[in-house]
Amino acid sequence: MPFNTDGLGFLSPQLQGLITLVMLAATLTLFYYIMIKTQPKKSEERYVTRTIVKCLKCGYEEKRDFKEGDFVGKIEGNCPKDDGTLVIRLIYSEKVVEQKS
Amino acid sequence: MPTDGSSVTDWITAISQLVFMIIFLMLFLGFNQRFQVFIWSRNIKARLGVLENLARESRVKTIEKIRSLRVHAGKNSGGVSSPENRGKTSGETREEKIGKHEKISAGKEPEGNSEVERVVDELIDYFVITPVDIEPTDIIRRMDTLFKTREERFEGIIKTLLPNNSPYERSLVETALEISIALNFVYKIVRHLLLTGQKMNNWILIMQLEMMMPLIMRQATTYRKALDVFLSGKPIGDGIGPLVAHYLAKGATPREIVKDTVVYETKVEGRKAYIIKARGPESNVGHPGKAVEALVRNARENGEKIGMIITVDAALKLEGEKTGVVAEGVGAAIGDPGPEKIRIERAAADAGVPLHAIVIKMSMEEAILEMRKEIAEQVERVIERIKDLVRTLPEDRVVIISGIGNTLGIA
Repeated sequence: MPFNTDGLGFLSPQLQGLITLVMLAATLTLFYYIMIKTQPKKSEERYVTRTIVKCLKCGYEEKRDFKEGDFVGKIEGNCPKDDGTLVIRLIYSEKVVEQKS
Repeated sequence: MPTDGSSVTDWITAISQLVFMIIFLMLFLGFNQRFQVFIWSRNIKARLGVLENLARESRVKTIEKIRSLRVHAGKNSGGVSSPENRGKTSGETREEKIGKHEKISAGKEPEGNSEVERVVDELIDYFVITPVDIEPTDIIRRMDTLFKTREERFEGIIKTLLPNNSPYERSLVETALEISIALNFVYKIVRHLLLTGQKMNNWILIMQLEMMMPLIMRQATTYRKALDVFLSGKPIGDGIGPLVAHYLAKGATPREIVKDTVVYETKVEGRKAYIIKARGPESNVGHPGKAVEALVRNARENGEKIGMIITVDAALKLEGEKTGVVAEGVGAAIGDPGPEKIRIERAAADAGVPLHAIVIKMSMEEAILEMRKEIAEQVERVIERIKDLVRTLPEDRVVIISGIGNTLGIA
């Protein structure tokens, strides 16, 4: 019977012990849940570096991946359209987002 | 007589009551504080391990880069003192050459890769003692002397390690060394504070260190990533100033005005303009203060009327601000400890001209990692702001525009 019949307490010793165990388990679960939830979400942001090459004559532009040795102002060769001078105009990195839960 | 079931629950109740009583007693005796310090110390120690790895990795990468550059430049594994290099002009003093010759004659292992490690390890502990500031008279001149001494010492050592390499390659190594020095210093400071706090039982020190650790870790991780960026030669966010200068120069021929700093003569909105930036594409910040000072002096000697001085630089954004926001202000936009900045301010004051600043906002990470697209795309907007300022000048005035920042990857 859940209720103590000898008048020493409202609840029986068995029920007291059970409640204590349940409360302990609930406290630990809540603590663990809070610890996990307060961790910042890890979203791995990947960046790719691009080189923008432009023709000084006609304005033709092309975008390619950065390679070692590239620098802004470097002469890359001749424009495929009008044989003008191709120069590196910009080098920047673009974001590629991969969400990691 | 109690049943078996009730004796088990009696035990559970007794144990849980005992546990609560012990916890209660510990709270009163201050064990909670010691336990908290133990948890904090353990967390700091874990992150200290990460800092140690970052410092070690950067040292190893720097050494590998130096070795690969030496091989690339055609140096043999015997290093500087190998027989075929003896007698070649390498900037060594007579004593250095004799010392190395003696070592080879004595049958010792020729210096080469071990020399690189030794030099890097010596440089990693390099320090600068700040000048006395209780007497601020001529503090700028004293700071200048200290920075110049450091700069020349580093350049000399790196030139000895890489005598046959280009200034560009040497500049990459110099920057890599700076990053290694910074990471090594951060690791040592955190270790010192942790050990001091534990020795002295100073829980306040441990607590402050624990609170600062996320910021320290963030900066250290960024520095480590920046090492890879610098070694690959990619332009960084801080290069936005030199990038704007490069665009304004419109292909004019650069002239070296002071060490590591070039000036272009061109026209902006019909007014004569001197565009200053560090010499690229090396990893270099140059001496824009000295350059502005020299230009103002030369312009006055030549009878030129200076209209204004404009500095363009990256600025740290506040949390919540958008990356790439362009803002205008007044003053010398330069993140220098003093010598260069004061030269720009004094030049403007002596010439009696306005000193404008245009900044592009970004975070610390964005400033020292690869230049982001959002930042690179602001070049045209910054140039428009500069043109707006220059249009306020009469046409016979000369404008000085300085693109402040690290010019890695920007010619």
